[in-house]
Amino acid sequence: MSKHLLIAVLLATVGGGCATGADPKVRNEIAAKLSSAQKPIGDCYQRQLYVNRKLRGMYVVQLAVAADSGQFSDISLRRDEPADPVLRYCVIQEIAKLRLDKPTGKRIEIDSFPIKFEPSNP
Amino acid sequence: MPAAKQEPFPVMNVTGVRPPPGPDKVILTPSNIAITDKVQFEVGKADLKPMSFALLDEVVTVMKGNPQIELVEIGGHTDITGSADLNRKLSQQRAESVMKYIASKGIAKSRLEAKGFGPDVPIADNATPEGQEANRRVEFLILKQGPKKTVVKDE
Repeated sequence: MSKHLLIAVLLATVGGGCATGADPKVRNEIAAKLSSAQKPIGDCYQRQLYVNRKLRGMYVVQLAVAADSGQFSDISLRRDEPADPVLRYCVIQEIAKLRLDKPTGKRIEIDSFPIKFEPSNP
Repeated sequence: MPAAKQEPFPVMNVTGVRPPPGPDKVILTPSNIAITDKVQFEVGKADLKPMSFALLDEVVTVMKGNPQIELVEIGGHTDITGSADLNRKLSQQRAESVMKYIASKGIAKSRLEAKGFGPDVPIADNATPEGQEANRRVEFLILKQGPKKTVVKDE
């Protein structure tokens, strides 16, 4: 392996951690996958709304997409306004079910995916 | 190397219908009889604490007022503290205690089923005390219901 090729491989590996912004196609696929979870996440919210009718607010979700499987993983909340342990767990479980149809071969980290929870009636 | 600035994702808007305001601690939903308070038991035992009788009486009222609900699973759940087998046994006994109380208030036993899940169906993260608290619970899941029936009261 030439010296230049080795450097290129190393740079690609190091840069892979924050590659989301670099590839709009992959980013769109991730956005589409997250959007596909809107209904089950809505079900999580509805169930807890019956228990706590004041439940509302923003989540800012952080996650990673595994290099080899495309599985969504390492899901955590940077911002958790509803502060409800049951809603939090349910939403994380739903996102953890997602995976990209075609893994990209490199780990992707998403640092901010916002979800807003709001009752539709007063 | 600093991380590349990521293009922000659009906000996912999630909405839900909140139940009407009121003092009710028991709410009938399409899939379950939701309780906004917890059924309380004596520590390590299946004995109901008297403070939970009023809550269970409300469940009875909802079931009496909704005869279309044909079968309700009373699910007992625990956190992951302690032996899983013991927790499953305790949660089964607790679910049966709740069933016995509800049946004693005039609900046919054929409409009730008790099941203890122990720690197997968490709804929150067991790594935190608040998650453990949420996981220790009793749920009333509607397993079978027919078309809506009207309750006619005797004059």
